[in-house]
Amino acid sequence: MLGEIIRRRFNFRFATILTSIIVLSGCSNSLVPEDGNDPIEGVNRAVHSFNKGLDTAVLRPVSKGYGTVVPETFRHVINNEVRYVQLPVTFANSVLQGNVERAGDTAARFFVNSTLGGLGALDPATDMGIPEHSEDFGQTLAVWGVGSGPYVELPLLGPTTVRDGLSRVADTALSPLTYIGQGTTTSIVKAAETPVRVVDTRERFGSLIDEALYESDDSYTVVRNTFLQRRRNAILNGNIDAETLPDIYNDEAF
Amino acid sequence: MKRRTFFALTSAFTLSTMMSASSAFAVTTGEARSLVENVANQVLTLIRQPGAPQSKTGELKSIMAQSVDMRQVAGAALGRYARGTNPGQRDRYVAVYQDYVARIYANRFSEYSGETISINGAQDFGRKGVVVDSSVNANGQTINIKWQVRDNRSGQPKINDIIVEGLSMISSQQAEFTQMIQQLDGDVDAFITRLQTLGT
Repeated sequence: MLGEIIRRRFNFRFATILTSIIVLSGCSNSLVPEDGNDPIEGVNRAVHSFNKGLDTAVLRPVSKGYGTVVPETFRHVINNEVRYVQLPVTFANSVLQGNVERAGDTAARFFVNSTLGGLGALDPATDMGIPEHSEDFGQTLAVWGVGSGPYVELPLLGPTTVRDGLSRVADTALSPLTYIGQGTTTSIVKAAETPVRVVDTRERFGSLIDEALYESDDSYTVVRNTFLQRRRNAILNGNIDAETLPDIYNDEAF
Repeated sequence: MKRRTFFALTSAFTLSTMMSASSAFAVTTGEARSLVENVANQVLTLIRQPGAPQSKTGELKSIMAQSVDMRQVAGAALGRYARGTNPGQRDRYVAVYQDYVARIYANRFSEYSGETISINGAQDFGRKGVVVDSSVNANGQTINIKWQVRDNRSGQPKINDIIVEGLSMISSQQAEFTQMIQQLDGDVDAFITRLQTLGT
């Protein structure tokens, strides 16, 4: 009975979120995000300087410390776990996109790394040549034909679009971490997941993020453009869209 | 031979010659592939050499000058501001741009060593050329690199764009450069001066 009520409420909330995503993103007819769609650039730029300040003061020093103090083997295990806990989300979204191949790869990867890999601490799936994919609900909505909506830079969470930002809620709902029981260990895992992922990513892409944030004249533009291109690539599963290929001979000879 | 048959035969011959001539102008997937293989191997050899990244910029610049249509790429990176430039500005900018790209990439490569590249395939995009798909294994990670190869105006196959994990070099530079010029109130000369020291 209680379960039924929770399920109904959840379904209702889910449907509301989905509707608002579709309505909010409806103003753009492009499935993949575009650079030009940034109507709240002023607000975004203010948030960007806040995020950049936070990176300078906290995230960059913490991730540098993590990279030098923590042994590489341990960091490797952490990174395996960070990628492992995302697999159910990728699996669910592959199914929602009707992508049987990616769903199969992800299920196989999850099975191998759960068993031989000791619940994701090791990554024997990669050694066995099982491809790794990353799918989220924002990509699923894009495949279903929902436009990206405007670009948004969120405090702490960083660059996203209206569609992709709102769809994070759905990914939380699709993640088993949301539903696993109580107890101290589970609480710690749940609480630590996001900060650990953020530090792991910041450390792994350290020099590229440094380059974007501190070695360009306008880090806001660089971050926005990089995010939107990476997003398009994720939606297209790494395939090339002929439309967006540069055409350097279109103009007169330079 | 009847005149009609003769006419049909000659036109078929002309048509087929025209078709083969036009396909000779467009780069084939095989040609694009070997161009990329050649360039990638030159770059990987350069990376393996000992020495500071700054000592490698000169050679990287000459590898790129041979295989990439640097002048046209430089123009594309200026986006909407390319049209308004005069010949003097263009020459100055192209020289500064070539140094800038060599400097940036030499620095990026300095983090890697012992890479191998494998070509996964090549896809023909017609007018927009051929895209060669490759994987570089670097520090235990696999990085996807795509190379857009297209004939230049003299019919020689040249690299137009390099797409690393979905990030197009031209697209990234165009976003960055046009924003810089806009912030300089459209002053291309001031931008060229700034580009000389960017990434140093």
